[in-house]
Amino acid sequence: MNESPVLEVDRLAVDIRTPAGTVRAVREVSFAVRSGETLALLGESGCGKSMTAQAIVGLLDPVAHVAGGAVRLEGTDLLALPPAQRRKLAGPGLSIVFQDALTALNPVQTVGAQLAEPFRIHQRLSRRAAREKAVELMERVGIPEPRARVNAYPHQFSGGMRQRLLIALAVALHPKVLLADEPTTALDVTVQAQIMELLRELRTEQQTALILITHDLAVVAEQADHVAVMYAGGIVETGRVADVFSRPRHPYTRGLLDSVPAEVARGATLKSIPGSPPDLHSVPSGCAFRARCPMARDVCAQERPMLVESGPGRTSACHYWRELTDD
Amino acid sequence: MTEPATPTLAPRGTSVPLLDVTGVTKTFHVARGASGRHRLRALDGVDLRLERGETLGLVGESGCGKSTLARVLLMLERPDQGHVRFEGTDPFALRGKELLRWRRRVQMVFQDPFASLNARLCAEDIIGEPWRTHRDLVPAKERGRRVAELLEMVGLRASDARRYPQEFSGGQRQRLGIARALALRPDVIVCDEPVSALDLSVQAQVLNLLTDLQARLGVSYVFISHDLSVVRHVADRVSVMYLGKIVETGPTAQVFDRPRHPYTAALMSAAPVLDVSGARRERILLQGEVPSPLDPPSGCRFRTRCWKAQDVCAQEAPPLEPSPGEPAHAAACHFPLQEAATR
Repeated sequence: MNESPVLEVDRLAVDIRTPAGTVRAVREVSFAVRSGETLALLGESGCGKSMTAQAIVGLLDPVAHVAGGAVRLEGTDLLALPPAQRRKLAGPGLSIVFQDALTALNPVQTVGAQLAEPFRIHQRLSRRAAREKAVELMERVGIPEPRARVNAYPHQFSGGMRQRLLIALAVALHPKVLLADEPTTALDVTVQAQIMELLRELRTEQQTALILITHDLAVVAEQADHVAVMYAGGIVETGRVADVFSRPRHPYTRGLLDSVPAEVARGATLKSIPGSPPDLHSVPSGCAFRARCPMARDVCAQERPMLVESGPGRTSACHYWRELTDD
Repeated sequence: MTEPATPTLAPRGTSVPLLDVTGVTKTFHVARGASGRHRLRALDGVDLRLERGETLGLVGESGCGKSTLARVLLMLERPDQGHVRFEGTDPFALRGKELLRWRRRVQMVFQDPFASLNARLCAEDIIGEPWRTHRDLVPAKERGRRVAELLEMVGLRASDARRYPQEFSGGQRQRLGIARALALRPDVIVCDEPVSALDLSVQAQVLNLLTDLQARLGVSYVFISHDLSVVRHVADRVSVMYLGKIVETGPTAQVFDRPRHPYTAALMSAAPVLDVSGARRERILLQGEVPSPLDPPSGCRFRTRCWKAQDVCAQEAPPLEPSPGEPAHAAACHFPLQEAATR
């Protein structure tokens, strides 16, 4: 795992046009992943984690556009390529699993036809050979009786099975990088565990780099090697999961960890972060977190803290991260 | 209050629980295309008990019947069989003023703080609306003051009274929903996934609020959630449901630390935990998904996914039986797990 990163995101910025003006939804987001490694993008709703993923795979909503930065897949900046070339490179190299499998699958096409499509387009296989591949894929992701169900439509599958189909579609061409945007949030707990296990197996099998987008700290703790914590469009802390979760070096990460009910005795007061995440139209000046931060001081309103090294292999964007190093 | 319609079933010497549900069954008839009508048994012989000032957690996956049970508790569904008793009285036997008085005492907090508040009413009207039905509860001239009190009680400001739901954040809306439920001074609040639509940092605020309110007002909660860590935090006792049946019930710590039913054990083991020590736990990975409630398995409903299932499980539905040494802790399994055995 010492080789160079397979995907590098460099100072990515995304703007959204809204009736009230253009707002920056993703600001200077940078991270890198290596083959066989899992990076979690952790954050609450509206923090820009899904927008980052959509910008990487080139599926941004029409009201949003990339305002700067680079997304390098094995050294090639995808954002600088003309669309046709980008498709040729990113189509097989980069794929995404969405949260809601029912809307992500085409309801009027059989699952077999949908699973065969990547093979038809990128490997120019015959209809019959592609279909054969589709059956193999269904079998690999644990769909019972794949040959009998290859002609079924998405609505004929359960939620868990649909998520498996979506994963099958995403890993069909053995992508170098797989993004999973809240892949289990819509599923029941016992099915969630099955899906996470499947993703883990596939990652190991295909040596894929996995970018897991989630709001769930426990999922991060169990699945990821590295984590990047996002708040109001920017990354506030990065590092190995074990380091970040045991010794957070940003007050937001610390606040999130304290909000988890798990460790606190029944009925005891949970520590919580006051207020709620800012609206993108009114992100505070300086540090975006300062209005909710117990450590905020004057400088936080004036200067936006940059991500700086705060330990071996980790960074934080806080003027006062040093004050968090103990305890 | 009039005499109870039916005598209470509480054993001698024990006080009558606030809410006592016994053997409740609810079947829906669902049209299912060309194949005709089907019967969906959403609840099948459910027992449940709630004491004053306590929180009962109700846990289970989608389709297990927890929301139907909530609707029965709120008298929005009439059970086909079995009894619901509220302080010994069957609310389904009440009429007129008595019924109205009862309805006041059981209220609800909904999951979605966006869909459950009328966007055309301001906070004051949302909180005060129940008083238009229950006219004698708060005199008209005191309503403004009472609204201000309720807003402050849930951590909003009295000056928020004229604001509309869309001017509030998700967490604030959920506070508003809680204030509305409190407006009628209920004894029981049924909370259906009250924090699952909220961000983690906000979720903790709302959980703290619910805990505080219980300590101050002595209200009981039926707390429905799929999030086990939340239930563990708020509930005194917990009942686990699977396909319309309660498979395990007991004090929270006993159920979580020593699950007896294989489904409970699997559910707990499936939930991801925030453990940074890096140790991967042995996980019980269940096969398949919850079977369709239209066609549940015979005998024990969990047997199709259970690693302990034997022939008897297909023939006989196991009854809820107390576990040895823990009389309050019961499980419905022919082969309950032993002490600390999660496989």
